[in-house]
Amino acid sequence: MSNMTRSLNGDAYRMESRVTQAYLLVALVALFGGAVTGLLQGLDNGGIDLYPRLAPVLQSYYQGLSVHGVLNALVWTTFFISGFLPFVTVHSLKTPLAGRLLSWGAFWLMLAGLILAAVPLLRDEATVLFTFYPPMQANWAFYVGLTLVVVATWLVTLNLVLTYRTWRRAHPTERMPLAAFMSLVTFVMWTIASLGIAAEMLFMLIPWSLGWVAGTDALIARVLFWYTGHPIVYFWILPAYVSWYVFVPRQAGGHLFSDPLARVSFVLFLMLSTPLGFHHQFEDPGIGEGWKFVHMFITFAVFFPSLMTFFNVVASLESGGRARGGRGWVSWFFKLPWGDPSLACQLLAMLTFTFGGIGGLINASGDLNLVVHNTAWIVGHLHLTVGTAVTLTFMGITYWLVPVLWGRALWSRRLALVQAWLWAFGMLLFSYSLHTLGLLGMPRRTQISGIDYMQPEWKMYLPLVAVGGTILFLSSLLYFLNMALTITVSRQPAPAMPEFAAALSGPEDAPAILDRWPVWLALSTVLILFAYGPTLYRLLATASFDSPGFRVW
Amino acid sequence: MKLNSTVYLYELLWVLPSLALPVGMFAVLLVTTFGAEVHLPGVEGRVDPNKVDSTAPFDHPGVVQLGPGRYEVHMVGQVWSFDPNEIHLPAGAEVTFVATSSDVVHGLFIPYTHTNVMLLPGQTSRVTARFDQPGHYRFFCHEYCGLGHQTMSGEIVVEAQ
Repeated sequence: MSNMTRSLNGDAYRMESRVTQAYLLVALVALFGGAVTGLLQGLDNGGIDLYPRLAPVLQSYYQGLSVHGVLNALVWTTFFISGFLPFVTVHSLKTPLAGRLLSWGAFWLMLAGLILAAVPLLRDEATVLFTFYPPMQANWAFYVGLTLVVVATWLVTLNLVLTYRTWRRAHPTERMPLAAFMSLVTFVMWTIASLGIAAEMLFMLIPWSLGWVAGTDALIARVLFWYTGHPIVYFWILPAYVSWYVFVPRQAGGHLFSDPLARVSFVLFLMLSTPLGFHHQFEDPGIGEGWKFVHMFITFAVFFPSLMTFFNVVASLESGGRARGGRGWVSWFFKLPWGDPSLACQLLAMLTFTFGGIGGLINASGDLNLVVHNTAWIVGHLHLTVGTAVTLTFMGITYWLVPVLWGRALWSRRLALVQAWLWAFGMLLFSYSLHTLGLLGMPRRTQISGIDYMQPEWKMYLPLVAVGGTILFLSSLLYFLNMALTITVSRQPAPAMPEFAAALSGPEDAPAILDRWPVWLALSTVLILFAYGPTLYRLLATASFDSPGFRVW
Repeated sequence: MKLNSTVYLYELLWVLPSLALPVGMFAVLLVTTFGAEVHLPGVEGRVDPNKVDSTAPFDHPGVVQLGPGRYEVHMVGQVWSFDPNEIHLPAGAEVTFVATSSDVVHGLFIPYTHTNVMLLPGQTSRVTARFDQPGHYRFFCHEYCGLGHQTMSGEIVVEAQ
C-alpha cells in the first residue's frame, strides 16, 4: 500500500475508470432509495405505518415494497456488477475494453432503461413488486425499461468477450488470468440465464401491456421468470466471489489457496446455475412433481461449487492469518487485519453467508419448502444472501474502489468499520426475527400492520424486525456519508488498488479443458434443454393465453 | 511439489464430504416423498380463468363430503377473498383442497399443515391435509395480490366429534 497514486484518471484505462465511476454513482443512488423504502417496511412490521404521511410520494406499503425490491435487488446489483467486473477484467488482462462506444453505449442504455422503468414505478403505475407476476399488469414502460436494462447487460458481455479475444490474439498460449476468467464466466452465465426474462418480456408482457394481445398465461410467465430468477442470484453473488478469490486473500496478507479449484467452481456455476428454477415453483400447480425433483437435485448439485468456494476462500484466509502470526485451529482468524474496513465488511459478509447457504439448502428441499414457502423466512434468507453476502461485500469493495477511482483516500476508516459491524449486527437481529416469524407462519410481502389474523406468537418478534431494520438503515446512512465525503471533500491521496492475490497452487496446475468454452457452453445448453424442454413444450402446447390484465392497487 | 501434494490432499478431504452432503440430503428427500407421502402439487389440468364461476367444481364453491372422514373443499381465490372463507370440519377429517384463482395470482397457506400452494389463474391446484386436533385454523393468501392483500383470509373450524 506504499505505492501512492493521486488518481487513475491519468493511466492507460482512463475511459474504463470513468465508465465504472458512472455505474457506481447510479448504483449508490439506487441503494440509497432502496434503504429508505426498506426502513418503511421494517417499521411497518413493528406496527408503525408511516405510509399515510408519505402520500403523494408513496401511495401504499406495496408501492414502497416495489421500489425497495427494484432498487436494491435489481438496480444496485446490476449497475455495480456492470461497473466492477469490466474494471477487474481490464486490470487482470492489462488490456483496455474493446470498444469505447460499446462501453458508454451499454451504460447509457442501462440508465435509459432504468429511467423508463422508474417513471411508472414512482407514479404508482407499476406496484407489482420486483417479481411482477402477471396477470397483475403494470404500465408498459416498466416492462420495456427493465428489458432495456437486460439488453444493456448483454452489451457488457459482448464487450468482455471482444476484450478477451483481443487479449487472446496477443497471448495465444497464456492461461487466462483468474480474475478475468471469473468475470467472463459470470457475464456469460448471466446472458444465458437472462434469456428467460427476455422472452417473458418480449413475447408476453410487453405486447400484452400495450394491448396488442388480449391475454397472458400466469404459469408460463412464472416459468420464464424463474428460469432467470434463480440464476440472477448467482449473477449477484459471483462478483462477490471474484472479490473473495482474487483480492481478499491478498488483503488478508496471504495467498489464494488453489487457482484450479476456483476455476472448477466457476465452470460448475456456468453449467448448473440455470437449470434449477422450479425450486421457486415447488408449490405451483401445472408442473410435474418429477421435474420438480430434477430441479431439486440440480439445486443440490450447485451447492457443491459453493462448498468448494467456502473451502478455498477460508484456506486462503488461513494462509493470511498464519502469515500474520496466527496459531492453532481457529485463532488465526482473529489475527486477520480486521482494522481494514474493506476486509472487515467482506469477512462479516462471509460469516453471514454461511447461514444463508444453510437456509438455501432448506429452501431447496421440497418437503421443508412446504413450511417456509412465501413466509417471512424467505425474506430473512434473501437479506442474508443478497442483502448481506452480496451487499456488504460490494460495500467492502467500494471502500477501496471508490478511493482508487476518484483518487481520494477513504474519508474515515473508523466510520467504515462502525458501519460494517452495525450492518452485521442489525442483520443478525432482522434476519433472525424474520426466519423465526416465517417458521411461525407469518406470510411475506404483506402489510402486517393491516392484517386481521395476527397470531399471539408473532408479537414478540415483530418489534425486533423494526429495530434490526432501523439499525441497517443507520448503517447505510454512515455508508453514504462516507462515500459522499470521500468523493467530495477527502484531501488525502488514495492508496493503490489491491493487487491480485498470488496462488499457492497456480493456473499451471489447472487442467487445460477448463479453458475449452465450447465444451462447457454445449453442456450448459444440454442441461437447460433437459431440465426445461419437456415442461415448457407441454405448457406451450396446451396454453391458451387467456388471462386479462388487472390493476389491483 | 510437496506443497502441491498437500494442497491436493486437503482438497480431496473437503471434496468428498461436499459430494456426500447434497447426495445424502437428496436421498432423505426421496424417503420423505415416497415413505412419508409428503408430496408437492403437480399437474391437475387447466381452467379457463374467465369462466371459473361456470366451470365445475368451482361453480359451487364449498365443502363436499366424499366418504367417512373424507372431504373436498372447492375453493376460488379472488381479489381479496376466498370463497368459501369459513369451513367447518369434524376432527380427524382428511381434506383435499381443489382451488384456482379467477383473477391474479394468489396463495393458500394454512400454517402448521402441509397446505401451502399457489393459486394461478388458468390452473387447478390440489393439496390434501389432515385436521386431527379440534380448534380454529386461520388460512390466508401469501402472495401479494394488490392493495387489500393483507385482508384476504379465512378460517377452518375443526369441531370435536
